[in-house]
Amino acid sequence: QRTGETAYAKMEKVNAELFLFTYGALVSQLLQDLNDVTEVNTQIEKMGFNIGTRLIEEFLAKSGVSGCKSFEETGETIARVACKMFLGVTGYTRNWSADKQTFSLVIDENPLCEFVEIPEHAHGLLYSNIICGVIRGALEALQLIVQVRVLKDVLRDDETNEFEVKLIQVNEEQFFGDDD
Amino acid sequence: MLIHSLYIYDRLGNCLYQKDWFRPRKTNSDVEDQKLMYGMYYSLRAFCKTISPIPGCAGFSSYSTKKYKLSYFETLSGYKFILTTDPGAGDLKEVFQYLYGTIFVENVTMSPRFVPGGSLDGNAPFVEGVDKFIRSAFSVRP
Repeated sequence: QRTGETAYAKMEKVNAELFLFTYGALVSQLLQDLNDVTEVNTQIEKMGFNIGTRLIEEFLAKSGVSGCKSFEETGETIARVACKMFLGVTGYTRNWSADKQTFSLVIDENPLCEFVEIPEHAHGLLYSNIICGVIRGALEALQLIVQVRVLKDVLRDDETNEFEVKLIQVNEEQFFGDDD
Repeated sequence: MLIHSLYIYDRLGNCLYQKDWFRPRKTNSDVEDQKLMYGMYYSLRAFCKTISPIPGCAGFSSYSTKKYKLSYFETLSGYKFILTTDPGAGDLKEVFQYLYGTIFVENVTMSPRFVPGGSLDGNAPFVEGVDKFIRSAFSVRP
């Protein structure tokens, strides 16, 4: 928890409204251009993935956390440190599977969803899917291959925001040199 | 402390950046040199892991010879930084932290123009930042 606060203090802040409206405008533009809710979901997840692969560097550099020894620790770090750093709110984890490979990340107050309403015609839009992508991208840079999906979303009248994170495999480092 | 050279590799072993500050003997080919360095690091690390009495040993952080010292730093995301200096250099952890945490992250990973795996030679803010910092932290002439 404390690590999250310290890291948060170090972060450069941007105006929340500006950020929210930019993201909102982007999603609605995508909806107009693609005209297909599923495709929009895929695209924002992909965008998140690309963000995640870069964001992880800032996270490692500024948070000062050292390597996690278990996936459980990874989950806690995402919830307590990463969420605080990049979203300004603290999340928590729950529903750990018995093998500790799957958990739910809960963010009660997702700042991304403020001022947002999903219109009728965009039913099924996963507005927070970008966060799934960010988590997937960031963890992939750490050799952890995960699947992330939105379980609950306040924009779909659920009581909270919940993401399911599932560890698929841990990559071993490989040597990509020449054969000579 | 006298600085010799800096090498930066990504997770896949691509050499992103290499610079010599003090190097009396030039190699024939920079690319060959970068490959050799990576191969050396890779084999030595594998060797250290094998002979270490502690399970889960992460490798090595430096070695010294009579003539030079090689220090090594790796981020959790797999970026590798290698510095060669004179053998009297101390622990370079803070130097690496600054190189990575400030210069690298801010000018490279946060730059929209950075292509993963691509060379950083064209990234002027990064190249200048590194040079300025190295010159402030080390001497470049014996």
